[in-house]
Amino acid sequence: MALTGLGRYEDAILSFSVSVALDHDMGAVRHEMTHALHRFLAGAPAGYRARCNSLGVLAPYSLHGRRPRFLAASYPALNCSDCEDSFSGEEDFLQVPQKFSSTSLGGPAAPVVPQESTRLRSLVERIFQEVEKIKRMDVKLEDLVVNPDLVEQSDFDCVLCCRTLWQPVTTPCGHTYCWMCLDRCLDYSFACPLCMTSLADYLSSSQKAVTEVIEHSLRLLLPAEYLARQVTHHQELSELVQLWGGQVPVFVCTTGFPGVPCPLYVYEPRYRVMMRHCAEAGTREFGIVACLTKDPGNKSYAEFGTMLEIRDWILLDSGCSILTTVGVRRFHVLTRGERDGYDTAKVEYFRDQPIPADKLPDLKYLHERVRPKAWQWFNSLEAELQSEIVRAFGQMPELEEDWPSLADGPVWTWWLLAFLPLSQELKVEILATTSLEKRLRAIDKTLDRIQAAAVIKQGQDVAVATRPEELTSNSRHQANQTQQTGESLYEQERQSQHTATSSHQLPHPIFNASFLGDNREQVMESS
Amino acid sequence: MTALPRRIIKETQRLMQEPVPGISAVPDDSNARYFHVIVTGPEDSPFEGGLFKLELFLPEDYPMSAPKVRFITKIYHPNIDRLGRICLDILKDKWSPALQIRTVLLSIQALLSAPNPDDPLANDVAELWKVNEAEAIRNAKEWTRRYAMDN
Ligand SMILES: [Zn+2]
Ligand SMILES: [Zn+2]
Repeated sequence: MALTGLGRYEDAILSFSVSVALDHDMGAVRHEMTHALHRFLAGAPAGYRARCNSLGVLAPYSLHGRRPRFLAASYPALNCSDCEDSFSGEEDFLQVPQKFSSTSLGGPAAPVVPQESTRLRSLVERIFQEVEKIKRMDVKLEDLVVNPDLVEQSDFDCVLCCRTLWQPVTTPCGHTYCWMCLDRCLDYSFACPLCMTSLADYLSSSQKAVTEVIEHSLRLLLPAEYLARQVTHHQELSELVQLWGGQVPVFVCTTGFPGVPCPLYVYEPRYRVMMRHCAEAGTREFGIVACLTKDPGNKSYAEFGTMLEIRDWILLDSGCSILTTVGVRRFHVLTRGERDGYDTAKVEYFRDQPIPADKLPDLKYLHERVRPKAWQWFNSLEAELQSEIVRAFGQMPELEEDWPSLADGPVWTWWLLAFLPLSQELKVEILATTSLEKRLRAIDKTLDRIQAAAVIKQGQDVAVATRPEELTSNSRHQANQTQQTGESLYEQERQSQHTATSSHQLPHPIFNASFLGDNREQVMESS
Repeated sequence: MTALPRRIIKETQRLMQEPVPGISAVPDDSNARYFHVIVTGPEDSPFEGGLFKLELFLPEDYPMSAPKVRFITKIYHPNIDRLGRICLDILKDKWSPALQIRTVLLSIQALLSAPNPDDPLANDVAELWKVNEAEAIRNAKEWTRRYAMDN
């Protein structure tokens, strides 16, 4: 099949024929062979095609899933019952190939095959020769297979993971890797790891398929290694299913909120790996946390985050992807880990504290005051901004009837927080609170301050001082790179692990500035 | 931290069993991704006779990302800066996951034999190397004697 991929259809047909001769199980081969033959014939000299047309045969190769009869007829000696069965239903096959069958059996003096088609004739010749060879070495063949001393185990090792190949794929440049290993490389670069040939075309044509020959030989020649590798593979997958050994994968980017969509653009290699792991593990969930570079070291990302569920996944040709996700529940980071370059964390989920009955009337009163205020503010925004918000986070959620008893309270509060101009730190703090009352008061105060700022702005016609938080974090990272310190590489490595990734967020942050400053007491009431 | 990938285990084993001539790389007792490296200055180079200490760290996504390597011993070389950072394409954009610790160290050894002042990291060194190669080589020999030969 690799040969088909390479466009070497003649050779492909030849090896298919040989594999049919060697192996009675032809199910998989059959389809591929048809495909190769189709291509071979399609590429045959024009004279041949014209002839087909004149015979009233549009295209003998357009019959998918069928194998021209002449090939079956070319191994009379191998006419096992399998063969008979497979072809018995094809009596109605078009005339031209049937004539070929007599042709090929009758040798090169072909009445139907026109002079131009020497390629076809020589192919048939080659098939005959190969099959003859096999017939002659039929007895020796078994000796070959049984002699495992001739097989070097490391011949079947993947250069990337140094393990026995698993689901081997062969690139057009002829290099073989584990499917998953190659996938990981392609996250980083389109170059073949061994010869640096660009694999961009190969990728976009999505011809990647397991190289059956290698897979088959492995199973045959190194059964123990094959089995062991299979076990490791499944172990690795189940490890993922167990949520990364009791941990969840963590996307360090921004704060997500329960019930609120969080569109993401995934382009960084480590996060592409992470998303593939999510897909392979079948969990479709990962955590998202804000990147806080204010206090570097071990606390480079926020302690509180939100699990996101993947709703939709668009894989782009470049290998990047656009994810539609929605927040499902909040978590607290207990311990931090790593896997294949991305962060993982052991987390504890949490919810709002239940509201005591005696507090409920006050809370309802507060809520009735804040929700309309939020709605009013949203409506006061420029129409363009409004529609951008709606595109990213949806319309303002309807109020749930049972909102006081929900795990995360009414969703509209989170929806609003997703685009309220607050610093990342404050958003994390609001996410972390288990008191709906505090959350509502924080929103209330924020809205008041925005109002006040707007009034001042109107009066003085002075732009509000802006502090672009996203930029601060980015430039910090750059500073890190150029910083000339003599500290150990290991330390540098740890520090550069968590770089600002705000650009993952779709759309780009609506408010680049937090004009509320950082004075948390003014928004969040201390407990 | 997850278990050490098979790839790192194999590479380490091979480095121990079939060491590259003139290079020793030993993993740290407490961190198998951190290697203590010693490269001997190649013959017929200004670094001949010197023993150069380096540190090599395999990042979490190795081999997708290149190892991080740095000279600890001071060295006078146009492609190695004051902090020991090395200007070598395979450590940066030319990295391929099919390359190994072994290949990286061999390339560094080769860089000592063939300094390339046209692609400098240490500009003052490169400048002198281009303008007055003899003096630059004298400096390199002097630094080798002073910093790479104490024991
Ligand atoms: Zn592999
Ligand atoms: Zn290649």
